Amino acid sequence: MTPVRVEVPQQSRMLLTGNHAVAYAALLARPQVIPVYPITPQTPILEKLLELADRGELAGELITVESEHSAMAACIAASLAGARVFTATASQGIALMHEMLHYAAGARAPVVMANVNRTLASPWGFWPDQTDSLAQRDTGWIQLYCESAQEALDTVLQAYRVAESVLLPAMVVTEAMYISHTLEPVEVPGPELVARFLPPYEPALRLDPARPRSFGGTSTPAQWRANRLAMQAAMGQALEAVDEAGTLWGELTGRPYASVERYRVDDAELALVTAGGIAGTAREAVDRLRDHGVAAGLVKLRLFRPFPAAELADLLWPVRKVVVIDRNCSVGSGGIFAQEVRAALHAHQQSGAYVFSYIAGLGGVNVSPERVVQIARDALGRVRPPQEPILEESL
Amino acid sequence: MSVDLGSARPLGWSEPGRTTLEIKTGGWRTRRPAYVEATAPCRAACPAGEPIARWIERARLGDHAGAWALIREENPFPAITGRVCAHPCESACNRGQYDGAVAINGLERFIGDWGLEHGTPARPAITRAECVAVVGSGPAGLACTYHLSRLGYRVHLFEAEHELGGLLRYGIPEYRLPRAVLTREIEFAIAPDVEVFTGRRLGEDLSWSTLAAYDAAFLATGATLPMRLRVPGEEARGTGHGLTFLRHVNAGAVPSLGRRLVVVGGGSTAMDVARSARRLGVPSVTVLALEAREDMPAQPEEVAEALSEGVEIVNGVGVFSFLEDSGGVSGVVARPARLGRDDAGAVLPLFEPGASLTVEADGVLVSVGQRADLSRLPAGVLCDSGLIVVNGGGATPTRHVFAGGDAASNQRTVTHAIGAGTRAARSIHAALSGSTSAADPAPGAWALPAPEHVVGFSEINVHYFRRVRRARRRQRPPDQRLRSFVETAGGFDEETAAAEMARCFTCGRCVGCDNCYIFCPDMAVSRVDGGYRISTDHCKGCGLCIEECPRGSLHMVSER
Repeated sequence: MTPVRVEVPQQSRMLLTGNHAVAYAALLARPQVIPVYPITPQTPILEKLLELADRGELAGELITVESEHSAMAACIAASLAGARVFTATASQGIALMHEMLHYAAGARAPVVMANVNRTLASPWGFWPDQTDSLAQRDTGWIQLYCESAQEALDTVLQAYRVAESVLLPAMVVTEAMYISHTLEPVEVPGPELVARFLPPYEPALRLDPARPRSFGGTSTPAQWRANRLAMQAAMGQALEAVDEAGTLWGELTGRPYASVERYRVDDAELALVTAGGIAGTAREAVDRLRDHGVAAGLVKLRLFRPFPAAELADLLWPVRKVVVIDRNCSVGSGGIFAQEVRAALHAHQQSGAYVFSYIAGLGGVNVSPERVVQIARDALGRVRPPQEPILEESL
Repeated sequence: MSVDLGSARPLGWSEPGRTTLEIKTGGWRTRRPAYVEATAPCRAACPAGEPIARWIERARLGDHAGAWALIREENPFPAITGRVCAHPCESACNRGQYDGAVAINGLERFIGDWGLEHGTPARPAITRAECVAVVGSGPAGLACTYHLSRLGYRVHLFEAEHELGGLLRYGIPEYRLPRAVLTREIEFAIAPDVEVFTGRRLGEDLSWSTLAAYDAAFLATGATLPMRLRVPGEEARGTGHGLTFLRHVNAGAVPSLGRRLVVVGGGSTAMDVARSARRLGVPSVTVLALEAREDMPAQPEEVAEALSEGVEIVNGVGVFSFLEDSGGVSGVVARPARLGRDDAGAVLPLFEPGASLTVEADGVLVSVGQRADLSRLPAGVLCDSGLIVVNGGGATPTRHVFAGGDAASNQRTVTHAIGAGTRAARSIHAALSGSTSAADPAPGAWALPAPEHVVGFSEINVHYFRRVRRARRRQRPPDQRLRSFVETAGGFDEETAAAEMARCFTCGRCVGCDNCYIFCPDMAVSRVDGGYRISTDHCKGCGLCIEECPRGSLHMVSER
């Protein structure tokens, strides 16, 4: 990401954890309904929101529900009634929401939810793993992955703009502990700035007793198919909306974003591809590799749904070796980001590049810059990728 | 943001004005919920049949006059029963299984006292040609008189004593039932057109041929003959009967009792005798009861109050003999015993091994029950086991002769007598007019009457009721109580009464709480006519409304 210096008077700098950065973003988005249910490591988000509500700073209706399933059900109902809504969850919580996630997307309810990546049981764990959110990839939610507290704050606000323009729900994903509980200096925009970026949510269609109409009645096969195809079309529009929102945000704050971010990749023969917190580490590793004469670059996948396949293929076509690092393992297959990257390159006839799939940092094991350098050197030493994913333990 | 989504626009919304009401989910149903007016357990247990939950509901809504009128549909004496009823309603109250029964008896007194101060008793007109004789003005006779005049009959009320009230006046001490309350509530109950004849005792001043001339007669002559112990020395000077003693005290006399009194018996009368004696200054009063403390027929409150007033109670003993000294009683010999009964049902101590107990006494008052004096009845009135034989409505086998109260029942409480008088009045009306009185009005056309169904605790959804402590009546301190016959128990103030009324579950009766309306997943419930209607086009028969109904006023009805 290349910072652009612009005049940004309406921001103040705060020392925030990733969780509190998300909470401040939610506050700035002015949601009217906030159904919440606690789960580690997301709980500080709702605690901060409750504190802000208690102080009178957050005007929305905070509903403490009895499960994540109910939290999402309340989000959907409120959203269909025309309210802007926010919630946050993690791990077992998002797993419990699964049924309602499909419903939210089919209902075209632009709910925005933060998900803090955390391992799924069993066994029990509290550390980062991307499987909880990646397992929801087919629910019809927009998914954005963040590498820092600042990005989390900025992305929550962009997610509202995107979701409400294409009428699909959006998930902003951070990472247990490394992002959620780590303090960083964060630029927090003022309400006037946010108001210029994010107008009030005023849907053309909403549930209103004064103007009765129904939503979600039983459909015919043709009606159901039409609804699904409309969602697919809306995902296509979301691709553009994410970049539009990221660009506008950059103009207002000096921090532009895109669905795919590139770092020193233009003349690279090896491109690291990753998402979330490892991206920051990989940026450091690229610099070290460049210092040792290796033409390495980084492609950070910020947007996972809709998957920016065409842009990724365009970006990676001159690269010889594409090295995908996954902090997840789809058991029986391998890294999920690697699957998606392979499919995207194949679909766009980018057959010249070899895609190497590495699985690292599972269950929250730390991925250091040295480890990423080691992964890149391993890929450089191989002629072509093995059929199986390469585990960091084998290096 | 206004973005033209084109083919990506949301679908799944109906045209404006078209709603889910179009989706007739009712076709899935095999059973449906129905609003009912079922019977609350308090009412099922009430010997006088009061619609308790309904009058509490009226009063809770601030309509004290309506509550008073509802009680008096059944019982003309709420201020009296609100003081002396043994309140079986509270034992049956569903709230007893949650956080303590509703203090119904105290609320009844609250409404009864409100009525005495603010109420205007209806003065029914005589609309019927028949005239009915009521013999006896205890609670049964008074209740029968009250209901007969409400039904339009001319009534002649005969009383052997000089004042009306029977046992209420001559048997219950003033500290439990103030005379002013008694007198005023009787005045309210007796319509001006009722002709009252006092000092007319059946068989002496009132002949059977006189009664036979009436269109119907109701016999409520009570149980006035004291039971005896049949123990040597029972006739010694200084011995007597508790009820006779109470009659004297209640008439204003102060009998001489000595300094050490023994009271024999474990019922309410024994407690009344012992506590009255303490108020008259007797320093030592000992009650000898056959029953264990927790099995005494007296109310637990009465027992506790007697103990706090310095009465000593010895349980599990029977009187074996009396001790005499120069013709006067000097003590009682008691032995461990348990309760038995002879063939006629009279109480009989069954002595058990153990050391005997001698209690020195200057006086002994026996309070082991009363029996009806049936000797003055004509041979035509059928009696069995010491009682006039009646059916459930109070009719004797003799045409147009009815009976009730202690003369016809062994359930000898004021409230049972009131219920018997009420039922007899309705039976007399049926016999004379051929018509039966109308059932309770349903809350509205939207609810079905289900009087045979008594609501159980399992039908109450207690999640909708916060636990609240039951209200307690204030009691005057024992040392103050012993100085006079001023009423012992205080009544509820407005605030306490309102809080206690709010505790009533209102079992089996819709109060319009909206739970069914809110929870119905098909929005099949709509508000109508002060109540609700369930659309059979949309109700799937899921039963959620029944589950969420706090008070069992929705029942499932099979449509198969």
